[in-house]
Amino acid sequence: MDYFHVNANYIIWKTNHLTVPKEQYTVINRTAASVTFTNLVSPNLQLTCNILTFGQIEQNVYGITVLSGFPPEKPKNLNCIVNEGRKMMCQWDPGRETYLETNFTLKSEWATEKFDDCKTKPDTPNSCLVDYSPVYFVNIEVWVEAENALGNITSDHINFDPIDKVKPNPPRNLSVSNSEELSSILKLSWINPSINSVIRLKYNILYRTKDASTWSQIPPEDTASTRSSFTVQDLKPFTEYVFRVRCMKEDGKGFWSDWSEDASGITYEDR
Amino acid sequence: TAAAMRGCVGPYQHLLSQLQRQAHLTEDTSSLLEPYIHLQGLNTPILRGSCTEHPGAFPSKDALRGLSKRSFLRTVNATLDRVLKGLVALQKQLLEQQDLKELETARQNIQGIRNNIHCMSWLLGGSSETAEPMQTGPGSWLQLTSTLDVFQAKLEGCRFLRGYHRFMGSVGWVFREWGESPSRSRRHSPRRALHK
Repeated sequence: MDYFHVNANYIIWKTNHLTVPKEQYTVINRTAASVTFTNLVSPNLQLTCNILTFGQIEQNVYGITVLSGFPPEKPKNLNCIVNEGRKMMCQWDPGRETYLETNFTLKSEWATEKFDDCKTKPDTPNSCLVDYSPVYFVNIEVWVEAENALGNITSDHINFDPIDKVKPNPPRNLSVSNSEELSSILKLSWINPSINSVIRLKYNILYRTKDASTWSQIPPEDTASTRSSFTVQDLKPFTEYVFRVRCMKEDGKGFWSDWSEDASGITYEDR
Repeated sequence: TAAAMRGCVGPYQHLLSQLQRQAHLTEDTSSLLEPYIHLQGLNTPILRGSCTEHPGAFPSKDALRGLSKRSFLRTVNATLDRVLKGLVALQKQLLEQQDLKELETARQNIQGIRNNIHCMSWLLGGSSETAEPMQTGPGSWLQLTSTLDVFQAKLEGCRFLRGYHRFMGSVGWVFREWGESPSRSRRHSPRRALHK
Protein backbone atom coordinates (compact mmCIF):
# COMPACT_ATOMS: atom_id res chain seq x y z
CA MET A 1 0.00 0.00 0.00
CA ASP A 2 2.80 2.43 0.87
CA TYR A 3 4.55 1.68 -2.43
CA PHE A 4 1.43 2.76 -4.35
CA HIS A 5 0.58 5.45 -1.75
CA VAL A 6 -2.96 4.14 -1.37
CA ASN A 7 -5.23 3.14 1.50
CA ALA A 8 -8.68 1.57 2.06
CA ASN A 9 -10.39 4.58 0.56
CA TYR A 10 -8.90 3.74 -2.83
CA ILE A 11 -10.57 0.29 -3.00
CA ILE A 12 -12.95 -0.47 -5.85
CA TRP A 13 -15.15 -3.54 -5.37
CA LYS A 14 -16.30 -5.53 -8.39
CA THR A 15 -18.74 -8.40 -8.82
CA ASN A 16 -18.26 -10.44 -11.97
CA HIS A 17 -16.20 -7.46 -13.33
CA LEU A 18 -18.96 -4.94 -12.65
CA THR A 19 -18.19 -2.13 -10.26
CA VAL A 20 -20.22 -2.17 -7.05
CA PRO A 21 -21.96 1.14 -6.23
CA LYS A 22 -20.00 3.25 -3.68
CA GLU A 23 -23.04 3.33 -1.37
CA GLN A 24 -22.31 -0.27 -0.47
CA TYR A 25 -18.73 0.42 0.62
CA THR A 26 -17.62 0.86 4.20
CA VAL A 27 -14.11 2.04 5.07
CA ILE A 28 -13.33 0.60 8.47
CA ASN A 29 -9.88 2.14 8.83
CA ARG A 30 -6.82 2.94 6.74
CA THR A 31 -6.17 -0.70 5.98
CA ALA A 32 -9.63 -2.27 6.15
CA ALA A 33 -12.81 -1.90 4.12
CA SER A 34 -16.00 -3.89 3.60
CA VAL A 35 -18.81 -4.15 1.06
CA THR A 36 -22.41 -5.08 1.78
CA PHE A 37 -24.87 -6.96 -0.40
CA THR A 38 -28.44 -7.13 0.76
CA ASN A 39 -30.02 -9.23 -1.93
CA LEU A 40 -27.61 -11.41 -3.82
CA VAL A 41 -29.50 -12.71 -6.82
CA SER A 42 -26.73 -14.57 -8.49
CA PRO A 43 -25.83 -17.68 -6.49
CA ASN A 44 -22.28 -17.71 -7.76
CA LEU A 45 -20.34 -14.45 -7.61
CA GLN A 46 -16.76 -13.45 -8.38
CA LEU A 47 -15.99 -10.64 -5.88
CA THR A 48 -12.73 -8.72 -6.46
CA CYS A 49 -11.02 -6.00 -4.49
CA ASN A 50 -9.13 -3.54 -6.69
CA ILE A 51 -7.26 -0.25 -6.24
CA LEU A 52 -6.53 2.66 -8.49
CA THR A 53 -2.81 3.19 -8.50
CA PHE A 54 -1.48 6.57 -9.40
CA GLY A 55 -5.11 7.64 -9.68
CA GLN A 56 -5.70 5.78 -12.94
CA ILE A 57 -4.29 2.31 -13.20
CA GLU A 58 -6.70 -0.26 -11.78
CA GLN A 59 -4.80 -2.95 -9.96
CA ASN A 60 -6.49 -6.18 -8.73
CA VAL A 61 -5.57 -6.92 -5.12
CA TYR A 62 -7.56 -10.03 -4.37
CA GLY A 63 -10.66 -12.00 -5.39
CA ILE A 64 -12.98 -14.69 -4.03
CA THR A 65 -15.97 -16.71 -5.22
CA VAL A 66 -19.01 -16.00 -3.13
CA LEU A 67 -21.59 -18.81 -2.92
CA SER A 68 -24.82 -17.39 -1.67
CA GLY A 69 -28.09 -19.10 -1.04
CA PHE A 70 -30.66 -20.00 1.61
CA PRO A 71 -30.76 -22.44 4.50
CA PRO A 72 -33.06 -25.39 3.76
CA GLU A 73 -36.78 -24.99 4.42
CA LYS A 74 -38.67 -27.57 6.49
CA PRO A 75 -39.50 -30.47 4.15
CA LYS A 76 -43.28 -30.85 3.91
CA ASN A 77 -45.95 -33.31 2.73
CA LEU A 78 -43.81 -36.34 3.51
CA ASN A 79 -45.51 -39.51 2.25
CA CYS A 80 -44.43 -43.03 1.42
CA ILE A 81 -45.58 -45.72 -0.99
CA VAL A 82 -44.86 -49.45 -1.10
CA ASN A 83 -45.13 -50.71 -4.62
CA GLU A 84 -46.03 -54.38 -4.24
CA GLY A 85 -42.97 -56.58 -4.36
CA ARG A 86 -40.61 -53.64 -4.18
CA LYS A 87 -39.05 -51.43 -1.55
CA MET A 88 -40.65 -48.41 0.07
CA MET A 89 -40.26 -45.04 -1.64
CA CYS A 90 -40.85 -41.82 0.28
CA GLN A 91 -41.43 -38.40 -1.23
CA TRP A 92 -41.67 -34.87 0.16
CA ASP A 93 -41.77 -31.23 -0.82
CA PRO A 94 -38.15 -29.98 -0.39
CA GLY A 95 -39.15 -26.31 -0.21
CA ARG A 96 -37.64 -23.39 -2.11
CA GLU A 97 -34.45 -23.55 -4.14
CA THR A 98 -31.50 -22.95 -1.81
CA TYR A 99 -28.83 -22.34 -4.51
CA LEU A 100 -26.47 -24.36 -2.33
CA GLU A 101 -25.60 -28.05 -2.21
CA THR A 102 -28.33 -29.34 0.10
CA ASN A 103 -28.43 -32.91 1.39
CA PHE A 104 -31.71 -34.63 2.26
CA THR A 105 -31.65 -37.76 4.43
CA LEU A 106 -34.65 -39.99 4.98
CA LYS A 107 -34.62 -41.49 8.46
CA SER A 108 -36.73 -44.46 9.51
CA GLU A 109 -37.02 -46.56 12.64
CA TRP A 110 -39.13 -48.93 14.64
CA ALA A 111 -39.38 -48.58 18.40
CA THR A 112 -36.71 -51.25 18.69
CA GLU A 113 -34.61 -50.78 15.54
CA LYS A 114 -33.09 -47.98 13.49
CA PHE A 115 -32.77 -48.51 9.75
CA ASP A 116 -30.00 -47.26 7.52
CA ASP A 117 -30.26 -43.64 6.42
CA CYS A 118 -31.54 -43.13 2.90
CA LYS A 119 -29.56 -40.35 1.25
CA THR A 120 -31.10 -38.69 -1.79
CA LYS A 121 -29.31 -38.36 -5.08
CA PRO A 122 -28.52 -34.79 -6.24
CA ASP A 123 -30.94 -35.09 -9.16
CA THR A 124 -33.80 -36.35 -6.97
CA PRO A 125 -33.69 -34.26 -3.80
CA ASN A 126 -37.34 -34.93 -2.95
CA SER A 127 -37.53 -38.72 -2.85
CA CYS A 128 -35.66 -41.77 -1.60
CA LEU A 129 -35.98 -45.51 -2.10
CA VAL A 130 -35.04 -47.29 1.13
CA ASP A 131 -32.80 -50.34 0.84
CA TYR A 132 -34.69 -52.72 3.09
CA SER A 133 -37.82 -54.72 2.35
CA PRO A 134 -41.08 -53.55 3.89
CA VAL A 135 -42.24 -55.47 6.94
CA TYR A 136 -46.00 -55.38 7.18
CA PHE A 137 -47.97 -55.00 10.40
CA VAL A 138 -45.19 -53.10 12.16
CA ASN A 139 -45.54 -49.34 12.57
CA ILE A 140 -42.53 -47.42 11.30
CA GLU A 141 -41.58 -43.82 12.04
CA VAL A 142 -40.18 -41.82 9.14
CA TRP A 143 -38.89 -38.26 8.75
CA VAL A 144 -36.55 -36.19 6.58
CA GLU A 145 -33.51 -34.14 7.59
CA ALA A 146 -32.30 -31.38 5.26
CA GLU A 147 -28.87 -29.79 5.59
CA ASN A 148 -26.62 -27.33 3.76
CA ALA A 149 -23.83 -24.89 4.64
CA LEU A 150 -26.33 -22.45 6.13
CA GLY A 151 -28.18 -24.83 8.44
CA ASN A 152 -30.24 -27.97 8.92
CA ILE A 153 -33.89 -28.68 9.61
CA THR A 154 -36.15 -31.70 10.17
CA SER A 155 -39.56 -32.50 8.72
CA ASP A 156 -42.51 -33.61 10.79
CA HIS A 157 -42.39 -37.32 11.64
CA ILE A 158 -45.00 -39.65 10.19
CA ASN A 159 -45.81 -43.01 11.74
CA PHE A 160 -47.60 -45.73 9.75
CA ASP A 161 -47.89 -49.43 9.00
CA PRO A 162 -46.42 -50.11 5.54
CA ILE A 163 -49.42 -52.30 4.82
CA ASP A 164 -51.43 -49.09 4.65
CA LYS A 165 -49.15 -47.63 1.97
CA VAL A 166 -49.30 -50.45 -0.55
CA LYS A 167 -49.86 -49.91 -4.24
CA PRO A 168 -50.80 -53.39 -5.42
CA ASN A 169 -49.77 -54.75 -8.77
CA PRO A 170 -52.69 -54.57 -11.20
CA PRO A 171 -55.02 -57.54 -11.65
CA ARG A 172 -53.78 -59.62 -14.58
CA ASN A 173 -55.05 -62.07 -17.18
CA LEU A 174 -58.34 -60.16 -17.45
CA SER A 175 -60.71 -62.21 -19.60
CA VAL A 176 -64.30 -61.69 -20.81
CA SER A 177 -66.88 -64.38 -21.51
CA ASN A 178 -70.47 -64.07 -22.74
CA SER A 179 -73.58 -66.07 -21.90
CA GLU A 180 -75.75 -67.85 -24.42
CA GLU A 181 -78.71 -67.68 -22.07
CA LEU A 182 -78.44 -63.97 -21.31
CA SER A 183 -77.46 -61.60 -24.08
CA SER A 184 -77.19 -58.60 -21.76
CA ILE A 185 -74.32 -59.82 -19.61
CA LEU A 186 -70.60 -60.38 -19.85
CA LYS A 187 -68.54 -62.10 -17.16
CA LEU A 188 -65.10 -60.74 -16.29
CA SER A 189 -62.43 -62.91 -14.68
CA TRP A 190 -58.92 -62.00 -13.57
CA ILE A 191 -56.05 -63.07 -11.36
CA ASN A 192 -55.49 -60.98 -8.25
CA PRO A 193 -52.01 -59.69 -7.32
CA SER A 194 -50.21 -61.89 -4.78
CA ILE A 195 -50.51 -59.20 -2.08
CA ASN A 196 -54.07 -60.51 -1.87
CA SER A 197 -52.72 -63.19 0.49
CA VAL A 198 -51.97 -60.42 2.97
CA ILE A 199 -54.66 -57.79 2.37
CA ARG A 200 -58.26 -57.77 1.21
CA LEU A 201 -58.91 -55.83 -1.98
CA LYS A 202 -61.58 -53.69 -3.60
CA TYR A 203 -61.85 -52.81 -7.27
CA ASN A 204 -62.78 -50.24 -9.90
CA ILE A 205 -64.12 -51.64 -13.15
CA LEU A 206 -64.47 -49.46 -16.24
CA TYR A 207 -66.18 -50.45 -19.47
CA ARG A 208 -67.23 -48.92 -22.76
CA THR A 209 -68.47 -50.11 -26.09
CA LYS A 210 -65.69 -50.67 -28.55
CA ASP A 211 -66.35 -47.45 -30.45
CA ALA A 212 -67.14 -45.21 -27.49
CA SER A 213 -64.53 -42.79 -26.17
CA THR A 214 -65.85 -42.38 -22.67
CA TRP A 215 -65.80 -45.02 -19.97
CA SER A 216 -68.58 -46.04 -17.62
CA GLN A 217 -67.78 -47.35 -14.16
CA ILE A 218 -69.38 -50.17 -12.21
CA PRO A 219 -70.68 -48.69 -8.94
CA PRO A 220 -67.78 -49.02 -6.48
CA GLU A 221 -70.09 -50.43 -3.81
CA ASP A 222 -70.63 -53.43 -6.09
CA THR A 223 -66.90 -54.18 -6.18
CA ALA A 224 -65.98 -53.31 -2.61
CA SER A 225 -64.61 -56.72 -1.55
CA THR A 226 -62.06 -59.26 -2.66
CA ARG A 227 -63.12 -61.17 -5.78
CA SER A 228 -61.65 -62.54 -8.98
CA SER A 229 -64.65 -62.20 -11.25
CA PHE A 230 -67.61 -59.92 -11.86
CA THR A 231 -70.68 -60.14 -14.08
CA VAL A 232 -71.57 -56.92 -15.86
CA GLN A 233 -75.28 -56.62 -16.58
CA ASP A 234 -77.66 -54.45 -18.62
CA LEU A 235 -75.43 -54.51 -21.71
CA LYS A 236 -76.64 -54.27 -25.27
CA PRO A 237 -76.93 -57.58 -27.11
CA PHE A 238 -74.44 -58.49 -29.80
CA THR A 239 -72.16 -55.57 -28.94
CA GLU A 240 -68.40 -55.50 -28.31
CA TYR A 241 -67.32 -54.04 -24.98
CA VAL A 242 -63.89 -53.17 -23.60
CA PHE A 243 -63.08 -53.56 -19.91
CA ARG A 244 -60.29 -52.66 -17.50
CA VAL A 245 -59.97 -53.22 -13.75
CA ARG A 246 -57.77 -51.94 -10.95
CA CYS A 247 -57.57 -52.69 -7.22
CA MET A 248 -56.50 -51.32 -3.88
CA LYS A 249 -56.69 -52.24 -0.18
CA GLU A 250 -60.30 -52.82 0.82
CA ASP A 251 -60.31 -50.23 3.59
CA GLY A 252 -59.15 -47.52 1.21
CA LYS A 253 -55.70 -47.13 2.77
CA GLY A 254 -52.86 -47.12 0.29
CA PHE A 255 -52.94 -46.48 -3.42
CA TRP A 256 -54.86 -47.72 -6.42
CA SER A 257 -52.97 -50.14 -8.61
CA ASP A 258 -52.38 -49.26 -12.22
CA TRP A 259 -55.15 -50.36 -14.56
CA SER A 260 -55.07 -53.90 -15.86
CA GLU A 261 -54.58 -54.45 -19.54
CA ASP A 262 -57.84 -53.94 -21.44
CA ALA A 263 -59.88 -56.97 -22.40
CA SER A 264 -62.88 -57.09 -24.68
CA GLY A 265 -65.83 -59.36 -25.36
CA ILE A 266 -69.06 -59.45 -27.35
CA THR A 267 -72.48 -60.01 -25.80
CA TYR A 268 -74.55 -62.83 -27.24
CA GLU A 269 -77.18 -62.22 -29.89
CA ASP A 270 -80.68 -61.55 -28.71
CA ARG A 271 -83.17 -64.45 -29.25
CA THR B 1 -38.22 -44.20 28.52
CA ALA B 2 -39.95 -41.86 26.09
CA ALA B 3 -37.39 -42.68 23.42
CA ALA B 4 -38.12 -46.42 23.73
CA MET B 5 -41.84 -45.59 23.62
CA ARG B 6 -41.43 -43.49 20.46
CA GLY B 7 -42.42 -45.40 17.43
CA CYS B 8 -44.86 -47.46 19.49
CA VAL B 9 -48.32 -46.54 18.34
CA GLY B 10 -51.36 -47.72 20.24
CA PRO B 11 -54.10 -48.19 20.64
CA TYR B 12 -54.17 -51.68 22.09
CA GLN B 13 -56.60 -53.02 19.48
CA HIS B 14 -54.48 -51.78 16.56
CA LEU B 15 -51.32 -53.37 17.95
CA LEU B 16 -53.13 -56.58 18.81
CA SER B 17 -54.52 -56.75 15.28
CA GLN B 18 -50.98 -56.33 13.91
CA LEU B 19 -49.68 -59.12 16.15
CA GLN B 20 -52.54 -61.39 15.08
CA ARG B 21 -51.80 -60.69 11.39
CA GLN B 22 -48.08 -61.28 11.91
CA ALA B 23 -48.71 -64.60 13.66
CA HIS B 24 -51.00 -65.60 10.82
CA LEU B 25 -48.28 -64.78 8.28
CA THR B 26 -45.56 -66.66 10.11
CA GLU B 27 -47.55 -69.76 11.00
CA ASP B 28 -47.99 -70.41 7.26
CA THR B 29 -45.53 -73.19 6.37
CA SER B 30 -45.38 -71.98 2.77
CA SER B 31 -43.55 -68.90 4.07
CA LEU B 32 -40.46 -70.90 5.06
CA LEU B 33 -40.74 -74.64 5.78
CA GLU B 34 -42.08 -75.65 2.38
CA PRO B 35 -39.41 -73.77 0.39
CA TYR B 36 -36.82 -75.28 2.75
CA ILE B 37 -38.15 -78.81 2.21
CA HIS B 38 -37.99 -78.40 -1.55
CA LEU B 39 -34.56 -76.78 -1.48
CA GLN B 40 -33.13 -79.56 0.71
CA GLY B 41 -34.65 -82.43 -1.24
CA LEU B 42 -36.82 -83.57 1.65
CA ASN B 43 -40.01 -83.55 -0.39
CA THR B 44 -40.98 -87.23 -0.09
CA PRO B 45 -43.73 -88.73 2.10
CA ILE B 46 -41.22 -90.63 4.21
CA LEU B 47 -38.91 -87.69 4.79
CA ARG B 48 -41.85 -85.41 5.46
CA GLY B 49 -42.99 -87.94 8.00
CA SER B 50 -39.65 -87.64 9.78
CA CYS B 51 -39.82 -83.87 9.80
CA THR B 52 -41.66 -83.57 13.10
CA GLU B 53 -41.26 -81.00 15.83
CA HIS B 54 -38.92 -81.95 18.65
CA PRO B 55 -41.06 -82.41 21.77
CA GLY B 56 -40.37 -79.57 24.13
CA ALA B 57 -38.34 -77.52 21.69
CA PHE B 58 -41.04 -74.85 21.67
CA PRO B 59 -43.65 -74.01 24.29
CA SER B 60 -46.91 -75.86 23.73
CA LYS B 61 -50.16 -74.06 23.02
CA ASP B 62 -51.65 -75.08 26.34
CA ALA B 63 -48.62 -73.82 28.19
CA LEU B 64 -48.79 -70.50 26.35
CA ARG B 65 -52.51 -70.17 27.02
CA GLY B 66 -51.92 -70.63 30.71
CA LEU B 67 -49.59 -67.64 31.02
CA SER B 68 -50.36 -64.12 32.10
CA LYS B 69 -50.20 -61.60 29.30
CA ARG B 70 -46.83 -60.30 30.36
CA SER B 71 -45.30 -63.74 30.85
CA PHE B 72 -46.69 -64.74 27.49
CA LEU B 73 -45.07 -61.74 25.80
CA ARG B 74 -41.76 -62.43 27.49
CA THR B 75 -41.86 -66.07 26.53
CA VAL B 76 -42.65 -65.34 22.91
CA ASN B 77 -39.95 -62.67 22.80
CA ALA B 78 -37.31 -64.97 24.31
CA THR B 79 -38.32 -67.88 22.08
CA LEU B 80 -38.15 -65.74 18.97
CA ASP B 81 -34.72 -64.55 20.01
CA ARG B 82 -33.61 -68.18 19.94
CA VAL B 83 -35.42 -68.72 16.65
CA LEU B 84 -33.38 -65.87 15.14
CA LYS B 85 -30.19 -67.54 16.31
CA GLY B 86 -31.47 -70.79 14.88
CA LEU B 87 -32.14 -69.18 11.52
CA VAL B 88 -28.61 -67.77 11.46
CA ALA B 89 -27.22 -71.21 12.24
CA LEU B 90 -29.48 -72.71 9.58
CA GLN B 91 -28.30 -70.20 7.05
CA LYS B 92 -24.64 -70.82 7.83
CA GLN B 93 -24.62 -74.55 8.18
CA LEU B 94 -27.02 -75.71 5.57
CA LEU B 95 -27.46 -73.19 2.88
CA GLU B 96 -24.04 -71.80 2.15
CA GLN B 97 -24.19 -72.88 -1.41
CA GLN B 98 -27.87 -72.18 -1.89
CA ASP B 99 -30.06 -69.12 -1.44
CA LEU B 100 -33.34 -69.17 0.49
CA LYS B 101 -34.73 -65.64 0.31
CA GLU B 102 -37.64 -66.69 2.51
CA LEU B 103 -35.13 -66.98 5.35
CA GLU B 104 -34.38 -63.26 5.23
CA THR B 105 -38.09 -62.41 4.99
CA ALA B 106 -38.76 -64.65 8.01
CA ARG B 107 -35.96 -62.95 9.92
CA GLN B 108 -37.41 -59.51 9.19
CA ASN B 109 -40.92 -60.61 10.14
CA ILE B 110 -39.64 -62.03 13.42
CA GLN B 111 -37.85 -58.76 14.14
CA GLY B 112 -41.14 -57.03 13.43
CA ILE B 113 -43.05 -59.28 15.82
CA ARG B 114 -40.49 -58.63 18.54
CA ASN B 115 -40.87 -54.91 17.93
CA ASN B 116 -44.63 -55.16 18.36
CA ILE B 117 -44.20 -57.31 21.46
CA HIS B 118 -41.95 -54.59 22.86
CA CYS B 119 -44.68 -52.04 22.19
CA MET B 120 -47.42 -54.26 23.58
CA SER B 121 -45.39 -54.75 26.73
CA TRP B 122 -45.12 -50.99 27.01
CA LEU B 123 -48.87 -50.65 26.54
CA LEU B 124 -49.46 -53.23 29.26
CA GLY B 125 -47.09 -51.30 31.51
CA GLY B 126 -43.98 -53.47 31.58
CA SER B 127 -41.02 -54.47 29.48
CA SER B 128 -40.56 -57.53 27.36
CA GLU B 129 -37.04 -58.17 28.62
CA THR B 130 -36.96 -57.72 32.38
CA ALA B 131 -38.68 -60.58 34.11
CA GLU B 132 -37.87 -64.21 33.62
CA PRO B 133 -39.62 -65.74 30.59
CA MET B 134 -40.90 -69.28 30.68
CA GLN B 135 -38.08 -71.70 30.01
CA THR B 136 -38.68 -73.98 27.05
CA GLY B 137 -38.25 -77.66 27.77
CA PRO B 138 -35.12 -79.77 27.43
CA GLY B 139 -35.96 -80.52 23.77
CA SER B 140 -33.09 -80.63 21.28
CA TRP B 141 -32.90 -77.03 20.09
CA LEU B 142 -31.51 -77.13 16.56
CA GLN B 143 -28.35 -79.11 17.29
CA LEU B 144 -26.67 -78.51 13.98
CA THR B 145 -23.41 -79.50 15.47
CA SER B 146 -20.58 -80.83 13.39
CA THR B 147 -21.32 -84.34 14.74
CA LEU B 148 -24.41 -84.60 12.58
CA ASP B 149 -23.99 -85.76 9.01
CA VAL B 150 -25.34 -83.56 6.26
CA PHE B 151 -28.60 -85.44 5.94
CA GLN B 152 -29.22 -85.43 9.70
CA ALA B 153 -28.45 -81.75 9.82
CA LYS B 154 -31.00 -81.10 7.04
CA LEU B 155 -33.61 -83.08 8.93
CA GLU B 156 -32.82 -81.17 12.13
CA GLY B 157 -33.37 -77.93 10.28
CA CYS B 158 -36.70 -79.22 9.04
CA ARG B 159 -37.81 -80.24 12.54
CA PHE B 160 -36.76 -76.85 13.86
CA LEU B 161 -38.83 -75.01 11.25
CA ARG B 162 -41.78 -77.34 11.79
CA GLY B 163 -41.72 -76.38 15.45
CA TYR B 164 -41.34 -72.69 14.65
CA HIS B 165 -44.45 -72.61 12.46
CA ARG B 166 -46.47 -74.59 14.98
CA PHE B 167 -45.30 -72.26 17.74
CA MET B 168 -46.39 -69.22 15.73
CA GLY B 169 -49.77 -70.85 15.18
CA SER B 170 -50.13 -71.24 18.93
CA VAL B 171 -49.04 -67.64 19.47
CA GLY B 172 -51.66 -66.50 16.98
CA TRP B 173 -54.27 -68.54 18.80
CA VAL B 174 -53.48 -66.81 22.09
CA PHE B 175 -53.50 -63.37 20.50
CA ARG B 176 -56.92 -64.11 19.02
CA GLU B 177 -58.09 -65.12 22.49
CA TRP B 178 -56.80 -61.78 23.76
CA GLY B 179 -58.94 -60.15 21.13
CA GLU B 180 -62.02 -61.92 22.33
CA SER B 181 -61.47 -61.11 26.00
CA PRO B 182 -59.23 -58.04 26.27
CA SER B 183 -59.90 -57.41 29.97
CA ARG B 184 -59.77 -60.98 31.32
CA SER B 185 -56.18 -61.63 32.39
CA ARG B 186 -55.28 -65.31 32.60
CA ARG B 187 -53.16 -65.70 35.73
CA HIS B 188 -51.71 -69.15 36.12
CA SER B 189 -48.70 -70.40 37.91
CA PRO B 190 -45.78 -68.94 35.88
CA ARG B 191 -43.69 -72.09 35.91
CA ARG B 192 -46.23 -74.59 34.57
CA ALA B 193 -44.56 -77.62 33.02
CA LEU B 194 -44.09 -77.30 29.28
CA HIS B 195 -45.28 -80.64 27.95
CA LYS B 196 -47.84 -81.16 25.21
